[in-house]
Amino acid sequence: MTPSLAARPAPFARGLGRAAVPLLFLLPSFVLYLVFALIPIEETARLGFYRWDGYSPQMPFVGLANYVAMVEDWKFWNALWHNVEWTAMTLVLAVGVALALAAVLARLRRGRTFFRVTFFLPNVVALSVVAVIWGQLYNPLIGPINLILRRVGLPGLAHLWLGEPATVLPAINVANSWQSYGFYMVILLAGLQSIDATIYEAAIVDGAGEWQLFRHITLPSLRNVMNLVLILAFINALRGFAMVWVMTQGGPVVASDLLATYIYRAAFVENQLGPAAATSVTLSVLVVATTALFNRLREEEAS
Amino acid sequence: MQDLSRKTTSRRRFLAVVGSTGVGAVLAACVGPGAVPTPTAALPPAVPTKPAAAATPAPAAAATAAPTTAPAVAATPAAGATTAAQGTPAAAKPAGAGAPGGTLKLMRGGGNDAFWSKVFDGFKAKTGITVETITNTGTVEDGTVPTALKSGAGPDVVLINSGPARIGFLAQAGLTKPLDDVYKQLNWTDRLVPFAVNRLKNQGKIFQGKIWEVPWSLDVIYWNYNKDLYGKVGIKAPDTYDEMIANFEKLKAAKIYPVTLGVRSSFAGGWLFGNLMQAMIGRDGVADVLFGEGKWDQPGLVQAAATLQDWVKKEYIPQAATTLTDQQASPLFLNKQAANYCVGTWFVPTMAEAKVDMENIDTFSQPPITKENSSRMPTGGFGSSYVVAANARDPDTAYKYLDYYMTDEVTLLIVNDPNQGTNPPVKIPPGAKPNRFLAKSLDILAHDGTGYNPSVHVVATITNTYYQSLQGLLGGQTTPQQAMADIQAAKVKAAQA
Repeated sequence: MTPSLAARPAPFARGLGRAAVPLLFLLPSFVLYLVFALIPIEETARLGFYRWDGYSPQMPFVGLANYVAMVEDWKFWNALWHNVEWTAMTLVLAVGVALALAAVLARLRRGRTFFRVTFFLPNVVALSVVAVIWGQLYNPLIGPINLILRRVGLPGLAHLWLGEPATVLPAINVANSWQSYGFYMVILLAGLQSIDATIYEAAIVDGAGEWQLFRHITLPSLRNVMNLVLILAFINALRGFAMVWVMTQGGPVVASDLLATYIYRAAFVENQLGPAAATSVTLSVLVVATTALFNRLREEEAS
Repeated sequence: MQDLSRKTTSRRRFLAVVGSTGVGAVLAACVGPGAVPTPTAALPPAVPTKPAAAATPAPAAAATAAPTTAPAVAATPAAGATTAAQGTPAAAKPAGAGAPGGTLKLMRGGGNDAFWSKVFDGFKAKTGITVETITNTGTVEDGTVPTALKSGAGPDVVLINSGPARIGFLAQAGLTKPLDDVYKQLNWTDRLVPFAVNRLKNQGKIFQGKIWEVPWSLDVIYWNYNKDLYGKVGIKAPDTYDEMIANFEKLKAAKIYPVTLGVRSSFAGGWLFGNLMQAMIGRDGVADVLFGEGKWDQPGLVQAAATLQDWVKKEYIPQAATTLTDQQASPLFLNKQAANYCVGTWFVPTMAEAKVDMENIDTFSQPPITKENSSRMPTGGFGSSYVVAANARDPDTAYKYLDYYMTDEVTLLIVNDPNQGTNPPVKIPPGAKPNRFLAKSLDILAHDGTGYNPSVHVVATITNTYYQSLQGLLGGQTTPQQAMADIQAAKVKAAQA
């Protein structure tokens, strides 16, 4: 017995041996994550302390100057505020509509698959294509939206949708929400279908109405799914870019500028990689911090 | 029991082997070809410090050299550019003077393939060099060109939009070669029209005093108008600014858009405003703003901005201009819903493609707005230019191509195309039969030349503010004073940077 014990490896080595296999399996993913996520993040953070056009061999260290310039730039605060508005609109238009549709579809006895596919369809269309389509819909001269408004006797409601500061951001967000609500709807619908039907039956027997069923059974049962949807919508909203860039490039002037378009313009139109990197880091911190705060609030509420 | 134990050990060994192989493969991929001994060392260096005899390497060597040697050059672009500048002129020869063979990689925007095929075939017949085309956006602003040049596996020659925001940026980043010595050696200056030579000198002030481009086309930007719409309301092309405004009023009364414009895609607002700037402070005044100490917020330019805004308020320009792209606005002119369109001669192929009656369209230059200003001429400058990559595999091949492009043969190929809108920057040889539009613009270029299109002559940070300010003016979100002050602030900031 003793000799056999002596032959066995030490506990640490044994632990290492046991960990080796899972580590080996994790390694390829980790390498990919390192190369395509961690190193670019580190490089972006580093770039924030330099002045660089992206191509020159000269790359002077400027310390926090890029961050100071960012804070002093009114266009940064303008873009940040637009992000807040954009996020709020996304939560209402995309998630709100998705929840309403999911609730209706969950009660359907027939045609649920048809409507689910139909509502999901815009989500498979590329954002840039959606942007071009909606750009034509909003065309002030030949776009159907203004034409219909004029035809039905509401010319006062016809606008330069993409040309007026008051309408441009909501107009783009409608297009963006139209593209994305189907995705959130499918997730919410899956959540709704997993709710035990007997709970509803019991509540109905107790005399609960439609609103009470929704308020006291559906919504609480969807807590986890809703949490996921809200976080996804929130992150997608904060990194909103393609739709705005294709439709207005942040214009007119900067009336539809989001942080992502602000960053893109600085990096690739004005070739100022340093300020763009500094703003990217700030945006990332904002996304992570807000998501963490949101999660914490949800957990506290749940407990 | 023993079997089971052996089986377990075997699986671990298998996993260890697979894991090690995976790690090894990943590491090998990360290290890349640089660490692996390859025949690279035996190839001639990409930086052309070679003697004249090595100017035309065998095609196989040239093809192999690109992917392997270029990254090293790309890692030190500035050094590459400097060495190239010193080393190449001695080896430069005119088209057809070198040994036959070789390949040239040319990057350009898409379109007009039939024309380009003729150019490349002619070049191959003369030099034996095959031109490989890389077709993409061909723009600096979206990062395509700089990335391709930086990659080391990219083009030898690139055809791009001109101006400091593009040519100057690439030069500053060490991605292109200075061409002063090649100009001297191959007498390119003698072949250009004087206007182009002067413009090269003028731009030198903001291009580190050197020449970095060979212009491919000269822009001539002025008013195009529909003659039948003018006839319908009984007006003619204006001789004065007052006549121009009177024309606008009559067109508006006839429910015809006096001017079409779409500034959502930026450029078009610049074409029009450049003409208004010149109409207000003259060509020299604009040159002073672009290249000298002249201020964007001087009273004359604030007045030009106010004029542009006034044109929207009076509905000479559709209020929808801010929401339309140029591609959406120009059909209003082609479909005869709008009478006037401020655009360059590059619009000629679009007109031909749209099959409009080109005899119904004519042009005029913007009349001066102020009486003391006598600059009645189109705006413009270099439209697009060739640049040579700092890490070009064989710069001599690139110079040969550029030399060929300046020949009478290619010039005639361009100007004798009935649907062509490109004004070559070279002297036009006998036998040229340009279309009506090109004949007019070539005549202008041969005499007074043009003024300046500001969009082309300012750096990227100013261009961006310039376009945003024009959008703000047209949309009524910015006052003329504020718009011009913003551009001036961008100019000051760019100078400090």
